[in-house]
Amino acid sequence: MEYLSNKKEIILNRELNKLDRFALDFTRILEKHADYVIISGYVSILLGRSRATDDIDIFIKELPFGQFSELYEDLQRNGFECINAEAPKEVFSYIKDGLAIRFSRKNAPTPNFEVKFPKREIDKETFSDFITVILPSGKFKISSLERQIAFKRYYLKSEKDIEDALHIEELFKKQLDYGKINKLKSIIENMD
Amino acid sequence: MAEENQKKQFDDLWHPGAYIKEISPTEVEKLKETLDKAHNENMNFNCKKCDKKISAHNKDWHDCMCDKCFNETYFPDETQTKKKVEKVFMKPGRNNQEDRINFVKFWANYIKTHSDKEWSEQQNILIDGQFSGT
Repeated sequence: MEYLSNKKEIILNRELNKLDRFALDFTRILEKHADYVIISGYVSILLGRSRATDDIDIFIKELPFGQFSELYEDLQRNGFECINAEAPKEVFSYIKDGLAIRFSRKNAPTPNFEVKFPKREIDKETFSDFITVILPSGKFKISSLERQIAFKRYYLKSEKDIEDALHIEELFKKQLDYGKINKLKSIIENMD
Repeated sequence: MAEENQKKQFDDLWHPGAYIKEISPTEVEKLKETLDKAHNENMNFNCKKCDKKISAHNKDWHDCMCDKCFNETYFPDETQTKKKVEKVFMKPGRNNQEDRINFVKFWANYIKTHSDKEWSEQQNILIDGQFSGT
């Protein structure tokens, strides 16, 4: 694994697992319709953390209903379903209200993608400093390592989240921008 | 003694892993200028693989790569052997939380010192075991 911080790229020649293939299948459809960034636990797992997960958290840039509807239909055509509701209008109303909507393969609720529009400014900024992970058979856009660490360590704070942050810190300690982590920490601590 | 040195040089030449570059007679004179320069002298170039700053010597004599990338590219066996020698052990924790933290650090170090293929095959046992039909 190689982190090219100047290019904001990670070259990762890992063997893919079922979760990676699920994630690639989903994001290949998603990226045709919307801009996305993967956040939270799967970022650490993709980069080698030794744990599994049921869901992959992802932000998509807010989009109007018409465009969302096209995405929804494309996902359905390719074997995915929303586990929150069936009618696209209802699903859209959830995500528009700031709630997460989940997509899985048809009749297999786990694993699933937990999709959200970023609402807070700090969440919207995820799109300005994302990293591209280049795998032998695909690419992912993930949140910056500093953002990942700050949210896990100072916002989510569970034992699992602190371990996820530590994993990233241990892997990339010499290449991290600790000033940026501290800045994000103070923003997080002053959030409602 | 001279014979021994000659034999050593011959053996080194056929040691697994090598970097050979074809150069023209006119290039030789130019390259000679950087042959004896230090690895950290005239750091005005960039590694073609990882983009780190490199010296004029590395640009001319290490295929325009930093030492790490050069060794990994042309002497992978030696790099791997060196890594295997530096085996690290996990410190047991005094409680469950400390033990988990120590394992996270130990595993991160394992990832850094092994190929992506090696560590990901192990991680995949854990992850693939969770999902049956995905």
